Amino acid sequence: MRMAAAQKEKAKKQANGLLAGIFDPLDAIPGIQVLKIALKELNLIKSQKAGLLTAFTLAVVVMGTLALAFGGNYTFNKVDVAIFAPKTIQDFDTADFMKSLKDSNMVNIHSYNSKEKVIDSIKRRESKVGIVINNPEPINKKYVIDLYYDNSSMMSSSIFFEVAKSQVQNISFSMSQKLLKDIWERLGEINSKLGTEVSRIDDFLARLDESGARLESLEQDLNALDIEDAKGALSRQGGKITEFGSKISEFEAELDSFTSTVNEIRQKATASREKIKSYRDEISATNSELDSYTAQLQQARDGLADVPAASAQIDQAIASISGVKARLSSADSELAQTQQELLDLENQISEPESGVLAKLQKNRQELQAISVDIAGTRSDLNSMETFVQKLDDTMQEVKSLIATSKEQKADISEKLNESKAMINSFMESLGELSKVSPDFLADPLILNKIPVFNVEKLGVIAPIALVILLMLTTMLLTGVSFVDERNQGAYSRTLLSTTPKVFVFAGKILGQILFALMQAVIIIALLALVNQFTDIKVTIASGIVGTLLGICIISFAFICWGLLITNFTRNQGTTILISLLLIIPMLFLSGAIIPIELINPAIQSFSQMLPLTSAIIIVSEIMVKGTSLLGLIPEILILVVPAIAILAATIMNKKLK
Amino acid sequence: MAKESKIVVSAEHISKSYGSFKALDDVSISISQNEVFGLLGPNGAGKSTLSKIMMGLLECDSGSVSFFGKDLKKEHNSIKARTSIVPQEIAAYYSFSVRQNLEYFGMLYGIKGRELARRAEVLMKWLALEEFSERKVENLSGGYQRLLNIACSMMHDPEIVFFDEPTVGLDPKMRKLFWEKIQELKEDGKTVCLTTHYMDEAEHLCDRVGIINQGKLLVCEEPKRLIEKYGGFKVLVLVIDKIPEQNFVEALKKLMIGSEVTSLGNVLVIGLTQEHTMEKMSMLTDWISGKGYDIKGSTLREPELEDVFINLTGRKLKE
Repeated sequence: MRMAAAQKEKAKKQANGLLAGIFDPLDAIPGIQVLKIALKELNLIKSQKAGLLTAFTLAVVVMGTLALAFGGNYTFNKVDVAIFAPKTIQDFDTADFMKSLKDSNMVNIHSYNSKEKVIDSIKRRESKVGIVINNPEPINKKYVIDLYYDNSSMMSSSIFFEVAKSQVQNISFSMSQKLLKDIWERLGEINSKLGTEVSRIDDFLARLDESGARLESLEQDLNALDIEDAKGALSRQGGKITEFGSKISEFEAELDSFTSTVNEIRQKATASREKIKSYRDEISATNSELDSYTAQLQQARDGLADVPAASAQIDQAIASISGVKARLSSADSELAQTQQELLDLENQISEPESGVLAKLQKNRQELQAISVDIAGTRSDLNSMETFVQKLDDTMQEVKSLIATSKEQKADISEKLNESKAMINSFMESLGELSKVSPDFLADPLILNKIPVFNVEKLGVIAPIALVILLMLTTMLLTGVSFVDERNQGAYSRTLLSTTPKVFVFAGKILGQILFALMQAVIIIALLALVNQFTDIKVTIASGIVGTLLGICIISFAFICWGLLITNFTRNQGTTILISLLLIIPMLFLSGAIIPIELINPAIQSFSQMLPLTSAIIIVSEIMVKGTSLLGLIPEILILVVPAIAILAATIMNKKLK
Repeated sequence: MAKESKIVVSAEHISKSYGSFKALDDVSISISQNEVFGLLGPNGAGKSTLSKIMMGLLECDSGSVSFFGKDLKKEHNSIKARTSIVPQEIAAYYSFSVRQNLEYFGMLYGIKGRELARRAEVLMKWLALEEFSERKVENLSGGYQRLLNIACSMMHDPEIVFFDEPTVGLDPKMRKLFWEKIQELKEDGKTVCLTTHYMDEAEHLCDRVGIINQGKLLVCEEPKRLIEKYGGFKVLVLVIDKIPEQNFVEALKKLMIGSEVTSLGNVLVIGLTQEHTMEKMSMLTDWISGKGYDIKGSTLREPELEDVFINLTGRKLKE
């Protein structure tokens, strides 16, 4: 090893000698001393290996950070926009406006139901820009849109405002374009639909006319037909025929009854004639008996001649019997006449050609012929009734058809009414379109730019400057002083004391915080002077106590980061360089110079976790927005939690002894 | 005397490694009350590592340290109140005045008010710092800065004081003053442990000396006893005309086998034994001359601690 080193040294000496030989003539050149001093400086730098390494690392880290953060193709993150778009705004399509904003793919929409909530959303940093849609102005009916922007961060606010504004203007342009397109489309549609409607109406009208005429004719035809009357007449004829038939039947029955009565009369005449004959026989017998009796009486009178009274009485009796015999002879003659008359009667009834019975028989036959005729007439009437019924059914069908036709007509009427309504709507649309003013069409929106916070540019920059100064002083001072303390051995001496290590660090941090507070007080006092004696307004919205408390927290965090660096460094130079290794990338990534939202989205989450990012947010929120520390708990945690972890690690780092 | 006293510091079987480098290998020492104990060894021998472990500034891989019979790890706080270290570097705040430094370090030990001011005054007086009491440390001379270093370590009136190379870089006058102050501490009943690579300092100040080399404690005894045991018979110091070549030194070592031979520039130091008669020394000078070296001068002296170290390690303390 030693031999090798000696050879190397020898070679080096030879090389130096050679170089000296070459460069010696250069000594004559004026100013060569400066060049040599410069070479010496480079050699000195080269000898500071840790510093040199850190310096090169710094360059690599800074450029690497910038390349990571701002290099490559990445899309701009969506801007959070708070919107209050009342649904009651006249003729404003809120949903469409929202959709257009959403479709722009440039914004995240947070809807609120009041202007105050929109502003509050910006104050709470949920949204970067607020959009409040107001009622149209009275002249051109342009929609008035208030664009609220977070002016607590100058660069961010401008960028986000412009993004939101451009989106709203895009929507405005789209609205104009859409309106014009809509007008053209609606006009074309109206034209096309009106043509169709006219054709339809013509067609309907023609069909209606045709149907009307046919219905009219049919109705007339039907009206001309009195089926019921025909049916009534047929019914009446049927009734009469029925009545006539029954009367014929009655007449036949009477005829039969009369025939039988005539027969009975003939039989009774025959019987009477027989009885008369018997009576006459009786009478003849009686006469004979009476003659016998007269003879007997004459005999008795002759025998009773003696008795004159008796003979007188017998003579009177013989005279009475002669009187009875005379009356019997008269009766007999009358009976003989009656018998003849009865015989005549019998002959009148029974005579084959001209007798009553023959005539009755003839009449009966004639009646039977009439009945047959009536039966034929009835059959004809039934056929007639069937025909009339069929005719009635047909008419019912025709009536149904007419009813259907009427319904169709009603339907057509309804459609025609629809067409009419449509035409009316087109007319209304045309009316609406005619109301749209050209000014409105050219630019339908009026944009009002309204800052949320009452602060000027200096007021926005001042907190950032304050935080950067605090970061630089606290980190560097803490790091350098602690490294010095360690190098001098004072730290070891402190650790060997009976004071707990935690107290030692607490005191150290407290001292650094007090220094940071003094620095902050100077800056704030200068701002107060500016505020007092110039027109520039710089506010400390949360008040001095809140601001100083915030500064204490921030200082604590940066002090801890400064302590962290000392865990890896042994001298001031390296400490400063490594501090810069943290500080410079943080300046670029924290939003202090360039808004975080312009950084590569993949790096943005990392940026949000940087202590400088949270520190700037805290001081800006306190000084510009008047946010209380309670409202900044997440940022405080981002600062304090890692700081405590770093502090604990530093306290426990035994190598620092 | 020391052996009869009560042991106040005890380090047993201490081992410490940095990666593959073994800084301390099973080192055990004990220090008695009111004793001045010296840890002697070259740079990198492990002296500072051992003293840091004993002060609780560094943790050992194995072994244990106790003070007053109490385990250092378990009762570090109570031990800290009774012990102190005077580091080699100026462990003070350069931008503070002498008084501010003293009062600050006193405050860290819980000393308050008048007692704090009184202790500062006493120490400034003892170390002749009174006239610089309000002067910033950065404006003090190196010697006074070292005295302040002692004062800062004595503010809480410790019973045991560790000195780490206390006189390195001091001029002889200041070095002597330091020796006086250490002796005064001993007279005041303090126990002192110092690391040094100055043999004369160890010989002059220490009741006992532990010689440490390459992480190992070689011996630990009173200086006189060490010299008696390991210093050898006599020491021959030869000044030659030129720096000897390595192969010459190696040949000399082979020739003087059983003796320690070291070369420092053009000086050859040869430890002699009772076997080395004058005749043999004459032969030696002839042999050296024969090798082409002229002997410009020679001294025969009594052995010192340095010789003990050479004899024990085969090399000089300040190589």
